Amino acid sequence: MKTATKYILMSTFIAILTITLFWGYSLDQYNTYEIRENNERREACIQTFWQLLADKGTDFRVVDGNLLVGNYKLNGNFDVPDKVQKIFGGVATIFMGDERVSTNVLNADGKRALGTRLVGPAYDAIFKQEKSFRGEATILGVSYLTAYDPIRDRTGKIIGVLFVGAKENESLARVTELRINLTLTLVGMVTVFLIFMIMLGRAMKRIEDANENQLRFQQTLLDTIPSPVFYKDTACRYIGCNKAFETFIGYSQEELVGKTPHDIWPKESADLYWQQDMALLENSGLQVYEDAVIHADGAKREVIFNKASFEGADGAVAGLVGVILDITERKLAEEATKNAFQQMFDIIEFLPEATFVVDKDKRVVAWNRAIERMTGVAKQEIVGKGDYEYALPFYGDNRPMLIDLLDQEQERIRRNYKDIKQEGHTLFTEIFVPSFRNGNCRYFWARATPLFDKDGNRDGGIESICDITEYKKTEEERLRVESQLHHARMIETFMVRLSHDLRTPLTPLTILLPLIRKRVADQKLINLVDICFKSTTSMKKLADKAQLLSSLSATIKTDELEPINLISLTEQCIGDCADILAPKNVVCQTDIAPSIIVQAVPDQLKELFANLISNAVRFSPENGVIRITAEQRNATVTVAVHDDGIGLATDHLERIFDEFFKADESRHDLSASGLGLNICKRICCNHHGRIWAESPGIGKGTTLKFTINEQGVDRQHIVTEPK
Amino acid sequence: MDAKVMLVDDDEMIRDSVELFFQSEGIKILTAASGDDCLEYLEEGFRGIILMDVMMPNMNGWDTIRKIVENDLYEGNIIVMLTAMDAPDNKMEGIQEYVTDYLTKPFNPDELMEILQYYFTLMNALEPVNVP
Repeated sequence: MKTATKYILMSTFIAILTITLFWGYSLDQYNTYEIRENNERREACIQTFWQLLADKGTDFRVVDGNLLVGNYKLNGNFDVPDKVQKIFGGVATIFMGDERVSTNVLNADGKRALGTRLVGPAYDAIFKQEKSFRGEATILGVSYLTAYDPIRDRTGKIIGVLFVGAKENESLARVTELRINLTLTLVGMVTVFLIFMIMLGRAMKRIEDANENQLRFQQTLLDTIPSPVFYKDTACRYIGCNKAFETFIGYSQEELVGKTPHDIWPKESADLYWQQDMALLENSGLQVYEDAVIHADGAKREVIFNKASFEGADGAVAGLVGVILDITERKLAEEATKNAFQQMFDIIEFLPEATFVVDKDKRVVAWNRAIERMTGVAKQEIVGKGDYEYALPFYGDNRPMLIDLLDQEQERIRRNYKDIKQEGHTLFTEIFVPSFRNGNCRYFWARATPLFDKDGNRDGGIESICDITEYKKTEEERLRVESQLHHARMIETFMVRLSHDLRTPLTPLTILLPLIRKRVADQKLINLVDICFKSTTSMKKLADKAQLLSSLSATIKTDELEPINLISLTEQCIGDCADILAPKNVVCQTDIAPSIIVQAVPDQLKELFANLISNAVRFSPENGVIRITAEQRNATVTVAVHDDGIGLATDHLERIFDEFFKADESRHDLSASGLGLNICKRICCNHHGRIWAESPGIGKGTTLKFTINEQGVDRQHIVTEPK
Repeated sequence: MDAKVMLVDDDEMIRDSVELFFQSEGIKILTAASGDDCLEYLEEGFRGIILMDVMMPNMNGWDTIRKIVENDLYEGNIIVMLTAMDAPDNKMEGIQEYVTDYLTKPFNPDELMEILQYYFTLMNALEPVNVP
């Protein structure tokens, strides 16, 4: 049964009981009052009766069977009783002895009940106890409220009885009427009350049903919340929870209700919850704290307790409601993110390039070691700072840098900053700092990229700065060298062209000078013509060398290489040089192992030996000795051509391989082109070997050495002819 | 046509000096200043040794040889190329079989005579010709 129904029924019962008791008591009181009134009236009535009789006489006596007062015969004389009846109502009777002799009490047939006798308690009282009687008595079967007084004669003997009475029902008619009225009122009131209570009950039932629905809805609502929810009273006892909480702690709601944290959680946690609950109940409001709890499945969970106190109808704190947010996954994700961040920062920290990272508010969040070294600004001094502080080490001024352009639209950057290159979101530019760290000018290559969060929103940026000053210098040097090279090539092209074109105008000279010599008889003229012819021959040789030199610029192709027995080739070259050895009577000796085979272009190797021998002869004394030796170490063969000639100054050792270098500038030796050793150098270079000169000093002879690979050239350097 | 040697060269000095040399040796020579002149002489019936310069304006030595072959004028001739380069170039591809020898500029009278003597002898062996 519902509380409200119980309450209503109880109220109804109490109300009816109260009304009934009040009604009974009132009626009883009134009844008593009415009886007393009646008694008083009957006393007055019987006194009046006596008074009326006293008017007739004072001496009662029985004479001849008649009762007389004075001389007034009372038997059959109804005058006095009727007068009494007229005054007071009711009935009045005069008994002679115990027989009615004058009465207005009627029989059942309506006649005066004369001759009937007094019986009952009144008779006993009058005749046996000789005293008056007051009270109820039944007269002729009808209940009366009565007053009986004995009539005594002079002797005091009881000779008759005076009686007055009223029918009880008539006497108490008002009481009865009142009782009926009151009862009706009571019934009416109770009926109205009952109807009211029934209506109230129904209304309350509806409210109760609505409340119940509300509660059921609330419970369903709570149950649909995936997070555990609980609520407690002011004594920290659980008064309810949702399904998620049941699952979380492994207790059903029924088991839970009435329990305190200490009944459920381990003591340590329970103590904490108790303290927190008490603090919340005391201060009211909201409370949030984290804790690690053990789930019913045994796993440890990181959770956030969200608690709030709630107030009762009286405005006082009535309890608290709490929600548990399971943040284990989030914590793990946070941990992973934190680790990832740490890793990222570690990576940035050790990047060889000077790098810094700013957040979306342009505050520095990372400043790596390389940039610390570059700028001399320690991480602690700058991390957390904004307001373009990061530009200070570069520009000496807080001004926007490349990283600050990341906010701008790409089109705008393209329009306004011609020097900034874009690749996707990344910006690149070269920065020139006229006085970096109060020192020399520096060139930097800066690269800035925006960083994005998982939703694709801008979340700061990263800029790396590379000091390219050295590179720039190298680049400038390279450009200078390239320009020189270009110039040299132009000269070479010109030389080739010259050597080629020289041949045509030389042809008439080479043809005609011998013709002229034949026709001339004058010896002086012959000598002059000979000089001209010799000069022409020199020019021809010069053209040949220049042409050879240019032909050596081309890279050797694989199919040009041939295995060459070094000793055979050397001997052949010495033989070819017999013409130049003979005039000075220079001897050429060799010390080369017959087993040495090298891979080389035969013509170039012959040219190399021819040039070296011719060079050695040129600087050898008369009857000098030239020694050609070869030594093989692993795949490298080192050939030395030694002469015992004029030797070389140390500062000439390197320069003798330059074009047109002549050790003795004063010697206008037309037979030497000044290109011989340069040709040697090119040939060695073509074969990926090197050539150098050694000399103990002026007058102490010279040794020219070159290396050549057993394989001719390194395999990776060989250009394979496309088929 | 008496001459058994023809020099084809655009350079007048070379033409003159070679002509002078041949005259001094008593050898008749035709000189042509261009490939077209050379072809003209051949059309007129020249047969002998053709000393052909490579580098000539309009029609170079190789093109001239090509024309000679195309016009069926090669028969009975020996072609010696006069070149300033010591290596043959790729322009001669396909016609090198028509070139019998090379003479690198600048050549001297001995070289010239040596080569002429050799080919005169060769031509005489194939077909007797009058060599003065």
